[in-house]
Amino acid sequence: MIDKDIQEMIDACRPGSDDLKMSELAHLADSVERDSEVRDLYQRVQQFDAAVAEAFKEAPVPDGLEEKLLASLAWENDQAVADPADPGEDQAVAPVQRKASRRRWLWATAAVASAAAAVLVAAFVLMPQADPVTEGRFVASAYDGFDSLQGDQWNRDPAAADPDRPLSLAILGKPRAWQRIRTDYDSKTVVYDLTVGGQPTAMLLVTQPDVEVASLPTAPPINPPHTTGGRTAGVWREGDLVYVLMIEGPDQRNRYERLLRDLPELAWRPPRNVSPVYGTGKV
Amino acid sequence: MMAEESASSEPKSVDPPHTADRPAAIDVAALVRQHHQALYRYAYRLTGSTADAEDLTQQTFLTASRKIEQLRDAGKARSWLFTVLRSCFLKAKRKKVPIPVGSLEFDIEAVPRAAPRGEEIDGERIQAALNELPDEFRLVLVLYYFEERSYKEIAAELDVPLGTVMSRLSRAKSHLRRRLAGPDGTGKENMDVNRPASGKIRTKP
Repeated sequence: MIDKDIQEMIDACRPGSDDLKMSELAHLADSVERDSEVRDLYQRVQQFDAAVAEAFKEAPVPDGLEEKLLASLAWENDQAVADPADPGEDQAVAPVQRKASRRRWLWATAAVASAAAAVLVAAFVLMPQADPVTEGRFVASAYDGFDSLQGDQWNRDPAAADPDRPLSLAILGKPRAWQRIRTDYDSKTVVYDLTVGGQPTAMLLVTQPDVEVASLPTAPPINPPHTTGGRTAGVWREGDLVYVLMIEGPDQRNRYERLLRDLPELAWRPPRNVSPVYGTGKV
Repeated sequence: MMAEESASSEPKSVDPPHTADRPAAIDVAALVRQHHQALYRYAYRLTGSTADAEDLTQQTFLTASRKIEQLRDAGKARSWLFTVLRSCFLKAKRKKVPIPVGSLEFDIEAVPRAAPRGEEIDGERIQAALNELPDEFRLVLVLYYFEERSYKEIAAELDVPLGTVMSRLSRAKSHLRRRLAGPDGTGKENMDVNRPASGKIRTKP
């Protein structure tokens, strides 16, 4: 009779691998060695898995997929370039093109209409399933954002920061610089660099998420709940903004707390149009 | 306090340690040409339909193009793209598939006596069996069979305990074996439907 644990271990071994040598599977290795019934089952599962793995990776790829993918990438790049870049240049070129490219314009209109219809259909289909994003998933997205920061893209002029995504008044510290990045839930996310000279990284990410984030506190948590990957992070909501304070390096908890505690006065304030919700911050 | 420190320490340059070393730009179009087939097949196994797989593959490359700075080693592009794809798949908030009662328990009689060859196994039948599984079980199978990840790597990737991965893997594989062993399955002649009683599994209370 074969134990369930043994069966699970057998199923955990990849076909053709040396997984059996893992220390965690030593019990299985011993059983395979001593018990002919276990050995027989192990070999049958290995052979079966090898065949399934081979079939698993085979599926017919639709014709023209590569071209479609390249076209969609090119379309998005065009959108990004054409976005709000230089309206003056558009105006100079448009009258010349308008007459000559009526057909192209019609195609473009049809494409935009189709895309809009597709977006509406997709929104309709997805709407009933739009559960709130969990805090953990939101933090994972924020970490992706921190990882995407570009060393040469920092703006050192605080007055130029996005007034819709200001520094939280609950945070003690003067930003050295800020940078706009795109995250999963807000394409205009702002990250403030609160790193003090000589200290390891401290960053504040500010988003106006386009999804609901479940159960967030309305002030920075004193004990940051996220301490993985060499980082400590706390998440909270202020009005329609969600903040993520992230600390890297040694002594993370103390440095995190020092950024929150006993704030007498902020040395730097958001430049303009400060949302009224910040008037209720922890100051 | 920190405010005083920061006021007195104006930085010369701002370059966080984790963004300091960036590789040369990686061409996303080249990634499409090189990996779109594998990505599509991976997406197909996860979604179970050609249309959804196409959409997911497209979404993956669009997301990859926006986050291409995260790819520091071009040699790991395939694995990174799979990770992006899984993330896109999970974010799509798929409909919950109820776990079929009783169909995920291990059945030793569904393990073939003689192994079929890969080409003998019906890919559509595999897909039909996958479609019956909840996402979390299907993901584990795709990581195991498609990416050839060890159960420890799967646990790390999905951030779930090792025991959970082992249990899901075993139950999902049992489901797959049972479905492939049915009347129209590839392994029909290979199935040992007359296993002795000693082949029965003993489950812990």
